[in-house]
Amino acid sequence: MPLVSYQVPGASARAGITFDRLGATLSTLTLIALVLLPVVTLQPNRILPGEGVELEQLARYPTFMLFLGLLILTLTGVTVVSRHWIRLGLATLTLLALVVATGSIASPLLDNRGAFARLALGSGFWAIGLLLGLMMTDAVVKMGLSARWRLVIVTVCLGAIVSVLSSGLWDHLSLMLEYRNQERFWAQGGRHLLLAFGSVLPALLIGVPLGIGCHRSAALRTFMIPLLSLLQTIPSLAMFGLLMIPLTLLTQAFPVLNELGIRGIGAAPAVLALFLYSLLPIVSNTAAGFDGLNPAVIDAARGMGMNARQRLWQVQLPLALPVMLSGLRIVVTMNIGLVAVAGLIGGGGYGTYIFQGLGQTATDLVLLGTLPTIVLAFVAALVIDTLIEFSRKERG
Amino acid sequence: MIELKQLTRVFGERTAVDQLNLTVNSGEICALIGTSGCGKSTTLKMINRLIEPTSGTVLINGEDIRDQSPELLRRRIGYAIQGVGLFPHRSVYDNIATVPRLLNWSRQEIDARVRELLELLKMPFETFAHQYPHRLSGGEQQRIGVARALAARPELLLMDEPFGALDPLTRERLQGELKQIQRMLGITVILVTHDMEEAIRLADQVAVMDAGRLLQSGTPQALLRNPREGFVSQLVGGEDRALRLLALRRVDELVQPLDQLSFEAELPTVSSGMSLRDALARHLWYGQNCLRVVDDAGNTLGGISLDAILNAEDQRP
Repeated sequence: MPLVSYQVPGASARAGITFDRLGATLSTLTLIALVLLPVVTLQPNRILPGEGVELEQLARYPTFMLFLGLLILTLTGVTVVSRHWIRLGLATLTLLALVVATGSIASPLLDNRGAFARLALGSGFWAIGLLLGLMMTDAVVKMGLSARWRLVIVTVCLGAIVSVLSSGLWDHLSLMLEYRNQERFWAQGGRHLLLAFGSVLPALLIGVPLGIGCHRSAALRTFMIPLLSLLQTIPSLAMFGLLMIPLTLLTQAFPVLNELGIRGIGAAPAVLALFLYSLLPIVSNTAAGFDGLNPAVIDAARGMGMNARQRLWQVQLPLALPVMLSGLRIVVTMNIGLVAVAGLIGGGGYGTYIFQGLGQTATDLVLLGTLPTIVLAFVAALVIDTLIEFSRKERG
Repeated sequence: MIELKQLTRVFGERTAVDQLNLTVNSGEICALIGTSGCGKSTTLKMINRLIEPTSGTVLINGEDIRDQSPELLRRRIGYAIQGVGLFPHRSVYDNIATVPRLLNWSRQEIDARVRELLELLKMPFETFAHQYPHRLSGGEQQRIGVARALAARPELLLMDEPFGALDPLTRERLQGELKQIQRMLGITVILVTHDMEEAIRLADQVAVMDAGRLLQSGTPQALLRNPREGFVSQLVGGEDRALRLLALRRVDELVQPLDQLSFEAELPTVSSGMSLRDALARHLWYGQNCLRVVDDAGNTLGGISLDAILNAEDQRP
């Protein structure tokens, strides 16, 4: 039963014409954003706020006109076309055209404006980009694609964006100028992931046995879950601060730790804090996964002569895996976000750019830290969704 | 031969099974019957040591079951339960192969055994072996459950309300198949049920339990003819007893030559393998005093009269 789209009376379904209310809403919002918000802004230098470039002025450039044409086609498409793959294709193409257009208008717009002038992406760009993204998501969801196909689509889109960026098309945009300044951008990405997963791995090694323990022993559960929930409520900055003190004392007492790179600030408190945050979702989802097992299956496994270890590895763990993986999904996306906060205590990762950018009021440097963080979290979630899908395969 | 001797199990304050003595002959089906909570499932689970008795012993062919580890014991005993408990993440093939793998059979042996069992249950290997349980109907799942229980050629099969969750038609068909397979393999079956019809249809020996005690045990006929006062006679059903007794006998026991009967040319038929109960129903349905008895090939064997059924002497209690 479609809630947001319905057939216009008299229109045949075969013609593929509908009126999609969600599509119409998104289209209207896109038009409003296009008219009211600046797609790009011209800044006299890196710090000073920019001034929006009028739509009229942009419309002089052929690439922008191409984008506008595609946009109109897409907005019409998502409103009246019922074939989701057409809508997905149109929205994707338009997004790509937007990226190309903003890049190609940079150098003509910056002509004769001095060496420090910059062209930055404006609120209109982000709003339209987001709305096009929503149209794509809506189409993908309605196509009922499995996670692995969604992963393919996202990979293709990211690939397209990366190839546009590396072609030098965006080189005159402020965001890319910030990127050029940061030689360690990719190394920071690696560090970001290292911090996020470096805390997940020990959390899995300790959390899974703890979760199984909570499933077996009500006493352990009544003690463990509230404790871990309490840890979860401590704000991340406070947690980093709280961990600094004992870690500093510890390294003073045992200088050997210092040589291992463990200090009161930096990666050590960050990983430790993320580890503590990770425990609750892993423990409670492991316990929930084991609780949810069909007792008849366990009874049958015992009755056929499986010993405790065989039951655990051959029956309980594989069957509880989907629920455990959804706990992992929570932890990984949460940690990728929280690592950004760890930038403040010198933990490294993309958070470094965010806090530097905030300190210098350089919005584009903030974006340079924020956007990759979002992309990492998004892709990681999708990868785990794909894993969950495989682990659920064939069990109905 | 399975012997339960003075078997007792106490849970806290409650005595679930109270000094139970029961002997089941090899190659027979024994039905443990009673209301829920009467201790029949506990009794069954003490035989494969899923529950350890508080006191008493279980002997299988004279051997105390405590002489080996519970796991090794259970791999020798088939176990099928209500709700089946098939492993949802494993294919039909892998489900059936569970115990043989625990016993380290070779791949060839396992493969041959799975094929043999699926054939036995009339489920084509190509269609079913690589299906996953959730794609099967309830009856198919229960068949696979039985195949899995039989995989390692156990001499004893324990079943805990195996057909409880099935619709009546499927249940009846599977009961028939179980009896056939049991006779063919010559295995011993101990079956827990609360369904008297099922017990009578399947069992060579029916053991009635109530509140942890064995009230009476014997052949279905013995139980129907001489139930002990109280719970047993309530369970075997006052008015239905005559019909249940008829259900235990076959048409071919009462066949008479057709010329002894008031013969009519176009008599409706009954098959010789039918129960007397079904034959009686046919008499009533057709409003006939006499029906023609045919064998499976359709040859007339004789006739069966309503009088013969009414006078079948030992049906009366």
